[in-house]
Amino acid sequence: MIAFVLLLCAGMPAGAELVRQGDLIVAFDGGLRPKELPRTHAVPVAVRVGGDIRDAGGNQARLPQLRTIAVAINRAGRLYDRGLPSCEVHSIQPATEREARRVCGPAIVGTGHVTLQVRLPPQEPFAVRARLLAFNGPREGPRKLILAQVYAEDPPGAFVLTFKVSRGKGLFGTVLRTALPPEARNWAYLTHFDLTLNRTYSHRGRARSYISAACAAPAGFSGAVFPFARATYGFDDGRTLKVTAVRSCRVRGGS
Amino acid sequence: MRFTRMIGGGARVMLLLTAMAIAAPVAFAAELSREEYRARVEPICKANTEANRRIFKGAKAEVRAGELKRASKHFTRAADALDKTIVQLKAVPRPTADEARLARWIGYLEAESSLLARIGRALAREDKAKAQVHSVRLNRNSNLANNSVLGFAFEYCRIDPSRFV
Repeated sequence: MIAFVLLLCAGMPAGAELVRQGDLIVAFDGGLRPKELPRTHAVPVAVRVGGDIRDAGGNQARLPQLRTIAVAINRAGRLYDRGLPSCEVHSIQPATEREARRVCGPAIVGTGHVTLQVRLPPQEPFAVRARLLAFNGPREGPRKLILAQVYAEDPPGAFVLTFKVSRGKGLFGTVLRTALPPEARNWAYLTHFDLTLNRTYSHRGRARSYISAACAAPAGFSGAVFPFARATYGFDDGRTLKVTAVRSCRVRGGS
Repeated sequence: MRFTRMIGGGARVMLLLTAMAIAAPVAFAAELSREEYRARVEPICKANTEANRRIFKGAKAEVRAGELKRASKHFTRAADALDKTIVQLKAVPRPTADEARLARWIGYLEAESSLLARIGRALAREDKAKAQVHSVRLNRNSNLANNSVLGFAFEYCRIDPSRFV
């Protein structure tokens, strides 16, 4: 049993923060690229976030269903979408990945992967790895939306995760929240996701980035260790697990 | 005389057996399950977590304001508090099957305390580069500590490195 847990941890991404509650283990990983950034003004970055869900006993078939994900990013990271084309849900659902790229390509803000365990009785559960394409979505009131198309080729299937972006006060300034859509609730058990946001574009003759960050180290320090992001996973059995990822950055040009 | 000795030897054997019979249940009683171990150590860690909340109050602002000598005291106090916690944790009997794992965990906690103290000393010397290097190590060590005892599903005995940074 002990060896098993070790093996499971070995299967989790190296460097990921892990939390366990009962037999449920969740991991959260991510980071910024580049790691070397100016101290005061934000520059274009790629932000990667990812998570894994595991059963401590290795029995993935008894995993509860992940229903909600909230990823709160440190306030040093800022989203900017002015001048960036947006995409509507009906343009990418139903659609293949190729169609979604063709119709909404200019609105792509990131890419990633999702692994799902498909449970469709009386079939045995099986795993599906799907691509994830993130599009700049329309606004819902004051909130930005990110539409993440999850598309699998074999067997073919797709759904859209709608991330609502909110600005908050405090350490984690930008929060991305999504819920498993109702049409996926009777079969999709998410066991892995990763998403990298990294879109640069030009608007009114100026270079822009969908996501930018600075390395807000105190004066005189050539770097900082900071709470990069916090993930909150909500499951259908009522459990909620929170994981905070702490990362470091360096100030461009030293101190 | 020989007979007496034999009786004496037999009595010693009996005494030894009696002592073993008494000691055995005590030994079994000391054997804890993971759940029992968790129940014993979580209040100890909770007290440390709450102490850290008080200890680190104002630390970030002081570092930002460049008051490094003042900020260093938070880390030194946190190291002292963690040392005391480690002594208490060491006194709790460990489940036999988890002996090695928990010994490793305690080792990580000792490293945590050492790194907190080093950060404190570096800040006191206003050696920002060293303080930073130790902060990165502290974060890495916290992850190793947490992952080594994942099976215990600790709440308070999980190190939250975000409180130090």
